[in-house]
Amino acid sequence: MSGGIPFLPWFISGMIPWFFVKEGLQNSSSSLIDYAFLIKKMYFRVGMIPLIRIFTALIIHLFLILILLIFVVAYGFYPTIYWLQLPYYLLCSIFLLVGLGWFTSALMVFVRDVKQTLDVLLTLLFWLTPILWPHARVQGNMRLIVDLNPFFYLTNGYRETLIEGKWFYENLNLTLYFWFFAIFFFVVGAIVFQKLKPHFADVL
Amino acid sequence: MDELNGRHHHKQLAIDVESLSKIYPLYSSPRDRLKEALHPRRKKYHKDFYALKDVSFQVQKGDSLGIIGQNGSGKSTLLKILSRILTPTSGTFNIHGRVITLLELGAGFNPELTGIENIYFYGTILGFSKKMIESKLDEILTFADIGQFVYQPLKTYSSGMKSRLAFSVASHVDPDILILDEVLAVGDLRFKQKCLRTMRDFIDQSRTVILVSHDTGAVTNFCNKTLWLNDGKVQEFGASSEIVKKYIGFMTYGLETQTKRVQPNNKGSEPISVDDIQKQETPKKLLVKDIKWIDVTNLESFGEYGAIIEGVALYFMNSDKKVDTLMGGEWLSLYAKIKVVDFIEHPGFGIRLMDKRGNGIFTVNNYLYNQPIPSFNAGEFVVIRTDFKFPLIMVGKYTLTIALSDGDQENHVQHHWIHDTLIISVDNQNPKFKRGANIIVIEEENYSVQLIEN
Repeated sequence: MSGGIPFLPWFISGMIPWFFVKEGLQNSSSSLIDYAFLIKKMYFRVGMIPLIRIFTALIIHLFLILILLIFVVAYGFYPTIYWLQLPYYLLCSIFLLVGLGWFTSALMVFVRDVKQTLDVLLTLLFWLTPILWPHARVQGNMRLIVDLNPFFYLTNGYRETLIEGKWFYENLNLTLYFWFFAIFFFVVGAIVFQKLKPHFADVL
Repeated sequence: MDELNGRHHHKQLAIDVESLSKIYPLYSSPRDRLKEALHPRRKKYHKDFYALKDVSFQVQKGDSLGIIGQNGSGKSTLLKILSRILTPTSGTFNIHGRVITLLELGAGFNPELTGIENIYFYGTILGFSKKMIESKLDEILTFADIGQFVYQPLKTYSSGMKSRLAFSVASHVDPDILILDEVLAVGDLRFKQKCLRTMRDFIDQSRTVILVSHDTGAVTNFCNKTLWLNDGKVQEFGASSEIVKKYIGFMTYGLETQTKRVQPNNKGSEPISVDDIQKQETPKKLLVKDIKWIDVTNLESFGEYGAIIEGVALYFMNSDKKVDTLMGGEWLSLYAKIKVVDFIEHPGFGIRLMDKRGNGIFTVNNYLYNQPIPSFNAGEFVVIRTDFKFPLIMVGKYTLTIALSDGDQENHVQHHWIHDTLIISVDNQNPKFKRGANIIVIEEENYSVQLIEN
């Protein structure tokens, strides 16, 4: 597709990290509501609940990665040194999800509509992220919008790791931007969660 | 560091609660909540509801604290704050040691998991390692004694099984402070006794137990201290027997005592025997204007409301002593203040005493006993007095239902029937009043036993 790469492995290598992000975010954001029966009755570290949901999604994701690797190899993309950065992108996804998970789950306790908003946003983001279409298609301002989307860094990263063969530091600006975004949301998520935590049992 | 200081000064303190308050904002509509959140000058759209107001008390290690109070008095809110599930709006509390709370049936259990899985699940949430739970598993299962059900999902359990499992886990994970909210209510007698034994062992090891219960008997027997909450405030705190007695008196007089709580030492709280009254050389005449009416207008009632009973009062006959606890056998006078709306030609006034299960003990009215009451005219207020001898019955709580009608025994219109108007406690130390399954206690002169052949 882009540069003679067959469509299927190219598409799936972008789609599977997206599945993880989507599952992880949807599950963790509603986790506090789902575990209301515990939060209202027991004292424990509530902050763990969104993480549990992310790790549940991670297990499915690891299984899908295995299938992805078999698939990619079947298409003739044999393991390269670049494959070693797969754990790095996995870590990136988890880190981003933890921050977003804390943030959205705490918010959803108070505003249930966050769930619907998030679903719409995720659908929108799916089409805004170059998953089904190549990044090279967009130019100018549109390109900037695409690059500002932190999920693009993840889907693109999986592709570069498995198919295109590029190191993450080759896109230094994108990498720096992603980590700025992820750390920002991690901190904001943690603060918001801590601030709202005392009210969970009252509101749930 | 507070904790360190605390430990240094009072070594024995387990719980120290200092002017704890919990406010819930009440909005009249969800729209108000949004308006308040978005209002630029932070205008208040809610009313504050005090679930707890300025609650302070201290519990020493080795104490067992009972918490009593009506529904909605803040007991559960207090427990949830102490177990750190809820955060107080203001005030502080210090707890020295690890708290395990059993809030309600099966709370913290996952209904889909089996009993054993739930033990692990619960233990993990409480912060125990798998190994530690494994080492206690046999003990927990033996104590719970629910047989092969431990391999079944919790949703198949009866409420008794759930409480067995919950208490068993909570008591085996070494808590310093064990908080129980009506947990024993569903267990059978044998399990209840086992739990009480375990709790006594706890206290002997200078740990602390907090028990919320409506079973005032259990509180008096088990707890050395009692905290009585009323409308979120501490009504009384002190030695259990004393507080429980006051509480029972309060429940008997409900709303009335609440509004007129000026003199805290209620004269009527001591049980009075017939002899006591007779000993008074000049029986005080109770004047109608001195009667302390209990407002009954908010109680559950039905009828045509052609005449409305507005207040009642129960006194020992020929005295100005109100009844809240009695021994049985006393003569009582029941007063009723009635607002007459329509003309009542043949008024009928009846009372029925029922036990706490709703079984009738006796019913009397002026139709049955041929004591007609003169007609009532519309618009007037009348006061009726009924005297009756209270039967000798088992120790316990009884309710008195009062009714007003027009007509005769066979054919009458019910004007105002008030369910459970008064609560009466029968308290008698004589063992005759505590034995057996029957209600009626036979008087001495009506019973004899002798050896007739040897």
